[in-house]
Amino acid sequence: MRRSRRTLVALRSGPEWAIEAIIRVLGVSTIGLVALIFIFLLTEGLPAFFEIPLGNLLGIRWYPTSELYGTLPLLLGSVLITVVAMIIAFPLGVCTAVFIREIAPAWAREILKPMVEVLAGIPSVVLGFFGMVVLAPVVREGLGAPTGLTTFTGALVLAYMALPTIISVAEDALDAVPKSYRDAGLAMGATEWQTIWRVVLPAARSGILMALMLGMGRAIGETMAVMMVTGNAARMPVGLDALLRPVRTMTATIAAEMGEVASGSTHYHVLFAIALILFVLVFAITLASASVMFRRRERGGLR
Amino acid sequence: MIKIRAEHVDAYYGAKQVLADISLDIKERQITALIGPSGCGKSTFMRCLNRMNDSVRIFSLRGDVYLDGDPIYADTYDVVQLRQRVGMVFQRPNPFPQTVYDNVAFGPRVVARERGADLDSIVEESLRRVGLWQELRDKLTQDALSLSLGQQQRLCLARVLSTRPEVILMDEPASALDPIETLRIEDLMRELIELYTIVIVTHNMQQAARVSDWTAFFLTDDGLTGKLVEYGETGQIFTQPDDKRTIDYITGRFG
Ligand SMILES: Nc1ncnc2c1ncn2[C@@H]1O[C@H](COP(=O)(O)OP(=O)(O)O)[C@@H](O)[C@H]1O
Ligand SMILES: [Mg+2]
Repeated sequence: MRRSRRTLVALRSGPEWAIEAIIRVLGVSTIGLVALIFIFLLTEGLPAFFEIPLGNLLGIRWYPTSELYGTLPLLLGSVLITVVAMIIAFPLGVCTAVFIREIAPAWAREILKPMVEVLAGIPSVVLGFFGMVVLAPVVREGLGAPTGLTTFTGALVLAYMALPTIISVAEDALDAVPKSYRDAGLAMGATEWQTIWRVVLPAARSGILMALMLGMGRAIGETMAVMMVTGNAARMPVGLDALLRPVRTMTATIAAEMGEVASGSTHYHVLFAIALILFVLVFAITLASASVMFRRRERGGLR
Repeated sequence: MIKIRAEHVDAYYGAKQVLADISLDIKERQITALIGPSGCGKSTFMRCLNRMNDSVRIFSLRGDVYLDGDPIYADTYDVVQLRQRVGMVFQRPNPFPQTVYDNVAFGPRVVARERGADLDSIVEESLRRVGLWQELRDKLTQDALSLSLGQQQRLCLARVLSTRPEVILMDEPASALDPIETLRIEDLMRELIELYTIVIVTHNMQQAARVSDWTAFFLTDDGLTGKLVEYGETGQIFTQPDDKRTIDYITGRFG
């Protein structure tokens, strides 16, 4: 085996070898870049853990001017808004994918698919603006919140932003379900619906799970739109009314405050520590979705 | 007794006519084999018998198909019920990517809405019928795709049996299997014939001769439209066919 491979390499012509080398360098440097970013975050963020007590850092108050650096409200803010966004976007996205893939006639599919892609291309500042002037008043008046800039408003905008990802990944997953499974379901006397619900969706479950996680990664890292519509009050998002109160996410905090802090100050280090937390969170989500994909491959591709 | 009667069936994919004037009676509790070269419309004809072609948008059909005397292409005919009565086994084993139990329980659960202990006994009975119970009784929660191909195909057969059909359509059910598994399927067919009417498409002449009571020979003379050349008792078709083309095909001169 090994020997024949080596001969193959030796036989390879010059340009092909060069192309392979270039691709390898580019690939390795991408990975290297991610590693560099992580190291940068570490060197700038880790000092925060030495400069202030852990109790303060994990506290519930974020008032940097009073030396209070409690990151908990920010972390919970990000998590809550992401979870709510997914509760809205995931069922909607999967249903849309089912509609596009399984139900819509061919001509409708031809229109819907590019439309979903256009959706993905809308800049987040535009969506944020839309959320501010259209959604916020609706939330304020319709749901009786004191202000329209709330967790819920942010979650709606985030849901909208995560939809294209969820739809297209879920659609690919449905697409990969072999026709023979559908045939088997139909031939058993199941209706189209029963076949979709009991055969096709379960067969595509790992791909659909991946859609959820990629959508989540998309939502948790979003900054601009969130900053525009959530009111940015760093309060603990607990209690039943948390959805209809302002909230502040980790991303919004970094974006809003990074420009104003003195480089090397404690505040500066804490902002990097927050970025570090965010990095780890997104990395964990990505890893989880990659492992789902990996398991899927192991089990023979198509699921 | 005639179980299924096809009368002057023409079938089209779009403008392409793939079956012309097929009239064929399928006898109850007998095995009918459909033979003929590839592309002559055997699968298409078979899929007319449980209306599986309904989901092909460009498909259309003229003529009539009767099950126990009722026209199955009538507007008011219940397709779901038809497919419970006329089950189908496909060329490639296609168990769902679920557990062995869930595969067999699918029909009763989803289509007939059975539950609990009833479900367990249906699963056991269906697996027993195809000789899988001994092999799989301790592996009911195993992923069906981890079984051997032959086991998968018998599982698919058990899945069909679970809704207690009257007719079983088998489209080249053994073409993906090794000789031993093939013989097992054939033995099973001979056992099942006590209760069921079976229609099988096969490429394998020996198989048709071994297993079937009746043989229908399909052929296309223009490479497009399949016609029924000859239909009769298997012994007669294989020993003294009326049509010269049948002799040529059976003796392997073309196809
Ligand atoms: N879904 C389809 N759409 C269009 N043409 C089809 C379709 N299925 C089969 N055909 C055509 O119908 C003819 C008969 O096919 P088939 O019934 O599969 O033959 P067989 O099973 O005897 O090999 C072939 O020419 C095939 O190309
Ligand atoms: Mg065929």
